[in-house]
Amino acid sequence: MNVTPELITAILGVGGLGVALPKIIDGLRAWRSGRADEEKVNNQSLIKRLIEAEGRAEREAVFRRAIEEYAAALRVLLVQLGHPADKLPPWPVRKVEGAPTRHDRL
Amino acid sequence: MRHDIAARVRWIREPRAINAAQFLAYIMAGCAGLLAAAGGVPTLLTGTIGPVMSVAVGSVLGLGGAVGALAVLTGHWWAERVALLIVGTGWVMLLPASLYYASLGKSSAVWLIVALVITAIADIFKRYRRIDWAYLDPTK
Repeated sequence: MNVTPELITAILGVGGLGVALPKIIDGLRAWRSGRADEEKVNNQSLIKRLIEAEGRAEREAVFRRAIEEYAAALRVLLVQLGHPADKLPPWPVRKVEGAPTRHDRL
Repeated sequence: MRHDIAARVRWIREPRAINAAQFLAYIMAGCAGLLAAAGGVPTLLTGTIGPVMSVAVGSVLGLGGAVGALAVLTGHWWAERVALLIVGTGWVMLLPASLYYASLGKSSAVWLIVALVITAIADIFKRYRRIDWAYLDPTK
């Protein structure tokens, strides 16, 4: 049998459409069964949860800064009232990223 | 909410630039298909793979372009994946004719078409991989 461009084109065409056909059936089935809508709701809830998590972190940061300001003001006040500055409890130090934690030792 | 306002005033949803470009790509694939099916490329297609396969190539491209254009606007990724497979099949079906015609050495310009077709196939693959995780575009 002669391998002509026409034959190769036909083979490629049948092959490509053969790959597409199961996708059509799968897609239509998902569409009819409501799986697509289910997935949409799920995706949107993921986006919503992400936005909520970001909002929570932001609110925490704002509140932490307010507490820091308050603590700093208290320290100034204590020193002004005559408390020795070197007797003040130490300002908390942020844990270094990657430093061993209690969990690592366990 | 930026999405709601955009949905009301514009007919293409976010990401607008990507969707518009993709829509254009499907329309162009559809146009190429119509051209091929109507016998508008006699030397390259009809002369090498015959009128029947020319119409077949054109129909595949046209069908894929139409399905893809509708799917990208409505955000049905499952339908767009099907459209990508059909359009991709159409472009791949153009390769034998282009390569054969180019190998005849009648016109070096056909090598340019070969390069463009391969570019189109790579782009189809890229888009397919990008949307290959959901049934529906979650932004729509």
